[in-house]
Amino acid sequence: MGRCFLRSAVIGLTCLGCFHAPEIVVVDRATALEQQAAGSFDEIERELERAAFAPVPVPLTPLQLETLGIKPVPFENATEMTEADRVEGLLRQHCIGEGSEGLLVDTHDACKGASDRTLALALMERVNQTRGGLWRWMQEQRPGTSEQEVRSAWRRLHLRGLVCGGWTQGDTGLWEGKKC
Amino acid sequence: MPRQLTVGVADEFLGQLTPDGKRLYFVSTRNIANEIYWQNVEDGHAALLFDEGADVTWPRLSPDGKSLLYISFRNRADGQLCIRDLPEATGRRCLENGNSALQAEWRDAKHILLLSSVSVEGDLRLLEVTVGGHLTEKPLLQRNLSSPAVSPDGRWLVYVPVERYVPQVGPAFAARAAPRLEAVRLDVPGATPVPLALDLPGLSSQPAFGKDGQLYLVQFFSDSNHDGVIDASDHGVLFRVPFPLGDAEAPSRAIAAMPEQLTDASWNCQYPAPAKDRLLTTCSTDSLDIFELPLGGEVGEGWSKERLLAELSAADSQIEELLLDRALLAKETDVSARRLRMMRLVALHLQLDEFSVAEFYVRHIHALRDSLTHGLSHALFLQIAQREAVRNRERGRMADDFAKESRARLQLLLPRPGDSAAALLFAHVVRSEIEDSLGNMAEARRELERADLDATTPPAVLEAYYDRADALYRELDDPAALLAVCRRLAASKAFSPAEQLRFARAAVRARVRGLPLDAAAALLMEEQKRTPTESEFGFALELAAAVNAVRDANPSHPVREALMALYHRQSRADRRRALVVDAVERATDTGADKITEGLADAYVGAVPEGTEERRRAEDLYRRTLLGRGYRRLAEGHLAGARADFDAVTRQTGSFESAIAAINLRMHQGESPTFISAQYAPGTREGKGLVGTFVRAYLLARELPRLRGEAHAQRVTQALAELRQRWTELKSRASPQVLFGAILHERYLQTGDLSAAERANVHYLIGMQLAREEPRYRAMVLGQLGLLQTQLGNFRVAVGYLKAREALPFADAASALSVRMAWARVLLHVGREADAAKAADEAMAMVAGAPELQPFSLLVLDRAALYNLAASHFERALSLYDVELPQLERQADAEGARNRLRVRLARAAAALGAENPSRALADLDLFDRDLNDKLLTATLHWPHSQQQAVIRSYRLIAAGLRANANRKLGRLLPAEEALKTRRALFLESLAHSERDEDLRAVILVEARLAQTAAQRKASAAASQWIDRALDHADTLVLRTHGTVHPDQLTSLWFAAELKADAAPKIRAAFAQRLDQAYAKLLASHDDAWEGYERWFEIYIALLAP
Repeated sequence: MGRCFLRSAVIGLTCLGCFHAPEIVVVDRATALEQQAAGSFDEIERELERAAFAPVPVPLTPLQLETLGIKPVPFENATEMTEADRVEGLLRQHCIGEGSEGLLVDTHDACKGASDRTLALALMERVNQTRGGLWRWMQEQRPGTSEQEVRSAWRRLHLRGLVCGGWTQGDTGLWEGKKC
Repeated sequence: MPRQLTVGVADEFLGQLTPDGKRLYFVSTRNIANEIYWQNVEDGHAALLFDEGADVTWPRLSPDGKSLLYISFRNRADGQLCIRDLPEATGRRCLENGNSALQAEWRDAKHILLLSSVSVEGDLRLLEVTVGGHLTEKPLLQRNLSSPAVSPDGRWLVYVPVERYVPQVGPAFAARAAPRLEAVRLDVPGATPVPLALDLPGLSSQPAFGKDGQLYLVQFFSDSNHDGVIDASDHGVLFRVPFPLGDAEAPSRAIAAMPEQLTDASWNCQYPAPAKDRLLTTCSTDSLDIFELPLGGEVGEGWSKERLLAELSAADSQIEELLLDRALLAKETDVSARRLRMMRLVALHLQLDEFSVAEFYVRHIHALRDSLTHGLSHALFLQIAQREAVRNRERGRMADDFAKESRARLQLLLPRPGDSAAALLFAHVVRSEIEDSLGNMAEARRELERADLDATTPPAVLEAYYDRADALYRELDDPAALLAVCRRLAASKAFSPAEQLRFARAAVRARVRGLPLDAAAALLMEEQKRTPTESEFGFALELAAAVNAVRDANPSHPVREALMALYHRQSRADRRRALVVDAVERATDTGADKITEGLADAYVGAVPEGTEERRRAEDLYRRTLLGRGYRRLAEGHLAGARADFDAVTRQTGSFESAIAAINLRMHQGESPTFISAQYAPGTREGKGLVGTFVRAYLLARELPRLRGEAHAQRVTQALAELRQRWTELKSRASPQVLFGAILHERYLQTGDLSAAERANVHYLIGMQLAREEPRYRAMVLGQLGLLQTQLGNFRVAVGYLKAREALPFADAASALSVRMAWARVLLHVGREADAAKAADEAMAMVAGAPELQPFSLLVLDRAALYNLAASHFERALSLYDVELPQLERQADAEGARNRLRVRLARAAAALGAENPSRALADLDLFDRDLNDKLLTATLHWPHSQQQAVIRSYRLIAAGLRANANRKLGRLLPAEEALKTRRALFLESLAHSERDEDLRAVILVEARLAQTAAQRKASAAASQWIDRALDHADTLVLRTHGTVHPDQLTSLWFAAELKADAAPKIRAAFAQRLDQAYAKLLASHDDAWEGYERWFEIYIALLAP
């Protein structure tokens, strides 16, 4: 057992089948491999290099951009927007969503187009904090009602007025834009 | 918007521009240490100015631009003032006074003011240093200060006073900077400093004099990092105030003036360095970089009040509004107008959570003492305090006291004698906000309903009322209440028609929000019947109905026509703008491109040139029509695509559309000369800068076909075209990328690394400028990836190529090119299996595209190689089996060379694939060819002598041969191959004297011993292992070590071989092993533990 281990240790160090770098010039293994064993096809290589080499914008169609999740910068007037408008915009963009528990949820992975996630999260937290206060107040108005009941009743009403296209979690847990 | 001058991942800061504006000096951390670089402003070429051999900082150009002062840390850890002569940075001389140097400024071409201290804990003092053959000093001021700035006439010193508040903390003293600057006369001995209490909130710092009689400075005016204090770790904002040179009352004038805001906090710009015609500054993006902007800042210098108002009405961000409002405030003289402008600024800063700035403006409102708004500032202060408390609560701070303090504010907001109606109304708004934040929704609502609007209510208060109503009623899901508020505001005479329209649209949104589209349509129709059509609400209803009719990507002709007719019926710009905003949003959501296209066309034609609104209209037009052009191009509708591209070029001067159109023209057979003429000055397509850009682009397109002198000439011509108007072109992405591509071409042709470096800079700047242009970004990512791959910077290339691979390609060849570069990069970053996979995918691409056939042999070769590297031997062998016959058809020298290499690689693949016989067959042919002098004359590796190259090949072949024979059980031939290998390594060692060659000899000898032992030739085995041990001892001596792993391994192996030797030999060897064991124990190194255990065993076995 010991002897087998011994042999393999020595053989491992000798590594006779490996390609080696030339002397004096120390190059990494991949460079040595290319120098020693890669075919040289100067003209074809140059031609292929040049095939992707042109100062020309890639002619992506709007559909291709959309498929990539790249939405054009919205043509809107941000100065006219209130905080609630911004939340609505993020819901339409699917960057945040109306979760099944009545709270806004971070759904950044589904976000269409660019958005400032930090800002989105701050807005989301603010709205959720306000909703918590609202539900507590609603519960105070109707003693004997559980928080869950208050939330569910509130959510039903709230979703009716939710902006069309707003990202919403259904009872099954799946997300979809509100259809109008 | 500031324009970026430096790019890259390193920090680059403290920029200084030469008087001619051509050279930039700055500090860079690109090599970890702080070093001073210079950069050609025009072409972006940057280089280390000098190598100090230590950190350096604080570069300052002398007024004549002939010398550079800096702080060096070469000889003193606490800094030493040095200067060098420019442009070569020669003639280094330093101040040898034994004091530490902190900061320095030129007073004139021969004198420097140096801030220094005798010791790190000592007080600071200002010295005047005279520059000559060497530097001499004399004391000037004994004062703790920072950021000294000297006026161009040398008469004034402005600085930040520093207060020592704890005598000593550790090796230094604790100090804090004063919030205000001070100015002192330098030409009046003993002059008293004058506080420069500028009319700004927060802390002033980093003053710098311009030659334009302005004092530039950084203001830290809000707690941007939310650490509870405003200090220099917050975002800086640049301001300037007049500081007339030659005026003895200059400080008073600066104090009396309203500082001009030059940047906004989002850029976090600091270290202003005003040059003749522009302002340099260091701003924080992902890293620190140097930017330039006009001396007057982001808002156009010299804009009239009317222009500012027009720009404000078209502003599309709060930041723009803020800067424009601030500029307008400087022009307002009427008390009411100033009050309203400041109320807007309060609201804007509150939205940005800049509470201290909001408070600053409220203090100014308070000072105006206007009867119409008396008491308003009191409520504003409380609103700011409440908002700040809410934000702190959101960040988890002060939650315990929140309710108590909020209730106290509610009490303070009760009506007070003398409060104006506006103040009373606003107090209700703020009380509603506080009740809301306390969760008292009924009270929040009641307070809002108590707010009594009337005709005298100032618009800014109405705006605040609307914001509160929007927040509360949407929170309570009460659209009817919100609708009522909006309708009321839409009819308020306090607002302009444009502002009324804004509320009318908000009212309509409240009315239909979330409704099914048909229900919304019916409701809108009902409302329209009850509403005068000429009212703002009437128009908003009509607009919503027209937009609501757009249901899918292909709205009917009547729907489109109705929308366009509504647009054309409007004579007011704000109504047209509102229509475009709402309709484009809807069309974008539904994919109704024709709506967007029609409106974009109409809108751009209606907006006057040179305005912010025109820029937005052009953006929309360019984006829309380019999109259609590319869509038509993909569909093969070339004439339509070209018409779109030409239209965009004519309407907006877009370079991207010009390139797209030119490519189509060339595809259709038009000559470059003909095309160039189409874009000549005076033509429809050639207006502005387009003609210049197109000429450069056409020249650049010829480069791939040219070689040698013709190539060099064309590069020079193309660059000359761009340089003609570079000042105007450099702020746009396309020329930057084109400049980079031309230099990239030069690098490919000549190997000139400086061209590659400059190409890289231009690409990076181009990519920064193309942040919102995905087509350009895709292209630049590819260019950068290829450039870095060609340069051998594989780890840098990974990021670019990965990002490029994620995006679609325009054609199969460019996709293949990037895929092959990606595969190569993966090989070089140690991801061989991924490299093989990428190369296999490239082969599949070639198989599926006839136009890629010319590249098939190259792709096949690389796929085989990368599979070999990934130890996918079977796959590699099968690919080489396909490749080699194809190479047989190559009759030239390249073919012979390729056959030689591929045979060797195939032998390695066959060996790995457990087919040693095939390996030996290839090795026979390889060895035969390696004796062909004509063939070996063509074998070249960079930086290697041909003799070394051939020896390396023989070494590889001998190694493979030894292994192949061993696999076949042919030990004698294996031993012969190993002997050949040993001889080659010894030969190499004789030439190189490298330890690596000696190690290789040791290992081959160990291997020879092992082979001999296998064939039971004990004497030979013993002989080889003794040689290995002798060489190992030599290695230990050469490396000046106690032991060497190779020596230990050889000993270990020798112990195994000598276990069966004669007792005398065993005893002698046991003694040697014992010595090695003692060394290992003495080293107390855990790394040798494995050897120690084995040596213990063998010492026992070998002992007599």
